[in-house]
Amino acid sequence: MDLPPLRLPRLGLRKVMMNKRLYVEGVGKRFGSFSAIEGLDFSVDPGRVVGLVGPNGCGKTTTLRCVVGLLEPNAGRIEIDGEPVASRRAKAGLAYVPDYPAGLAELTVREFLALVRTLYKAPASFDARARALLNAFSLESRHNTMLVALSLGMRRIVSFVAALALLPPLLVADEATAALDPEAVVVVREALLAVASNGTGVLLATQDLHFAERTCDEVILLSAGRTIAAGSIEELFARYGAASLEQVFLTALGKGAGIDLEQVFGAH
Amino acid sequence: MLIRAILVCSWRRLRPFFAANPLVAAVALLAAPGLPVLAFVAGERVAPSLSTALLEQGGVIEALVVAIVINGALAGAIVVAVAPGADVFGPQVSVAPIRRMRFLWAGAGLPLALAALATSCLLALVALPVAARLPAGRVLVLELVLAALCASAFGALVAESAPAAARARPVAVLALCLIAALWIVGASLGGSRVLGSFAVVSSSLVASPGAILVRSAALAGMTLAASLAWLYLAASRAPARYRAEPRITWLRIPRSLFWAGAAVAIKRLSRRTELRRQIVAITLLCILAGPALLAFVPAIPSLAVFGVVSCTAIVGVVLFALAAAGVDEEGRWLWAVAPSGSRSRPAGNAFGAVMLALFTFLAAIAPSYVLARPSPSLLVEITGFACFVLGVAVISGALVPWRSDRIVEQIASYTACVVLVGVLWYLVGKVAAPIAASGAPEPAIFAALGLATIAASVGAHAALAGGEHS
Repeated sequence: MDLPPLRLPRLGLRKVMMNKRLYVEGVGKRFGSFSAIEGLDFSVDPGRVVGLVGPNGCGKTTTLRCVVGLLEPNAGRIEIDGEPVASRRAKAGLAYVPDYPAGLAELTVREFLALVRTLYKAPASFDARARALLNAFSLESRHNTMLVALSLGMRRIVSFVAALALLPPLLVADEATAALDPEAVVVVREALLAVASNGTGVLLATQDLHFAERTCDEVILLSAGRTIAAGSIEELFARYGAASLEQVFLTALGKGAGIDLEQVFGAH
Repeated sequence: MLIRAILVCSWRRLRPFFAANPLVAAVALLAAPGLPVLAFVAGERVAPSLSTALLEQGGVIEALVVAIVINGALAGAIVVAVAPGADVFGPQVSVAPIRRMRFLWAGAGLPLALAALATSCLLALVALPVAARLPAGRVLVLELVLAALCASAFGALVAESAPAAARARPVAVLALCLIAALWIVGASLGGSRVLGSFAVVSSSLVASPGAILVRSAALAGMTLAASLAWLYLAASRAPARYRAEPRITWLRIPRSLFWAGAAVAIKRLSRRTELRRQIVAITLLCILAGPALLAFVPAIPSLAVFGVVSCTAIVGVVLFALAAAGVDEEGRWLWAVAPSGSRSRPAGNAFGAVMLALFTFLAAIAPSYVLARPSPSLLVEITGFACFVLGVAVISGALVPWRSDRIVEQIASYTACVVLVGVLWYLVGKVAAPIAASGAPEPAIFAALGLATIAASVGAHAALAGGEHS
């Protein structure tokens, strides 16, 4: 049974002034002799939510790190409205939520948000949006708490708050629902859909197929660093004759049969 | 197996770093065999004047022993207080059915013991030419080096047991009582309340080789006992706990990138549990040790006390500058994706770290300065020298980042700092000598050197860190 939609407070959302399109063409990344991703092609249009799904180690995080400029691809090009992602103009239109928000743990929530505001030269409306989002995530009482004293889920929420409050033309979120409680997952989903409806393009990676099914306009299924299926949810359902993204996932990967547990653990 | 794991991991982390920084690798390769030579040459240079002073001027040997004891203890306390504990192998391996002492020995103890051995060899090479000119002869080197090692082990044990004793751990209280007892016994034997167990060292100049060997054996025994006690306590060290809300929040994050970087550096360095303890320990040690020496050991000239306290404070605060780049590196993902200038923020980070270190240094030496009353020009010279060391520490920390959870990187970072300070100080001496000979006042030279080093270090840090993330 689906949960009723959670009403977000007023976030001070406005239409994103400059809609930007992420364009990824023929991107590959190697670590020594290991090819993490190869020949990836996709784009994220303004207002669209695109999800990367796939088994562990299939290259989702590597792809996102290339997109945000943390890794430099060995092949292909990644551009935001014609600008290479390493350029400052491209970075100015992009906010990132990492899979594990390490570092800067000695700053309080308020100080971390102030630092992000400074680094992105965000306008004063950033503070109001950040406050509203902290309220929505029930973290308003923790604004003077150091990040190191927060749980992993709370630290990820703070990362989301910082990225969402920037109201960027492009938002990239790795492991979008990892470590979040069910209520936070609902708030994240609503917030992502809200910013997308205002023109933000969203690229996320997740293992939560139910979340992806309910949030994404388009899904890219990766395996061993390559795209094995891509399209809207409806297109994928029709192509694989599936009723859920989980069925699409297992059918496309040919992993429906499961494993022989008796062979692994022996007969009881 | 554990030692091999640490060595393999360290090598695999350092190999790509050296491959990416061939200049650093070349300097390290050249410096490794050059250090013993440099140490011996330095000893030869100071030997004539130091041996004469030791034989002819009263109080110089006491000042030397005080310097060895305080700085040895401080170095031991700093290194083990910030070194990773038995959980260095991560939570999954740490719960394996192996004694925690073995984890600690493999993860921190052995690397630290090897580093202490290397440092002792260098100290011995510096002391050898001096000892050869003294009545006791070269065997005196053994006692001096063991005194430094013993002081380091005592410092390590005090740094480990004091926080544990504050949490009412009986074994930690016992360790502190044992140290106090050894100190009192040593003080009564050597006749100095302040020098305690090390008082006998100050009478070694005219001692027979046999007596020196007996004392050295006693120092070696105390070193071993203190080291084992430290290993035992550190193996059961409680993980660092952070206050949920910091005490000081008045320093806001400014809108300017440079000042935001400086504010973030000050907040982060001062809030890390291991570094905050460091700030408190250095300040307290210097504030208490300086006046105590001035009050209870009148044989030591007040200027020498001020010099010892200043050296101690510099050794203590240098970690803040050294750790700046390593701590900053932990926020790499945010710095890398943000559209802000890639130079001004790391420049601010380096500046903030130096300012925190400099402020702690000045606070630590203030009581000794007031009591010893040296000339203002000496204060300017020492502060200029402190700025030089801190600036060089920022650069070496950017070249070989200090990492809180990795002992090999910590030792590499300390070594890089010592080598750079030594080499650059030698070069500065070559440049400054003709300037001083031309009549320029020395305080002005030191002040200019300090300011120039800080400016250069901030610029170098910005270039190194900014270039890496751009």
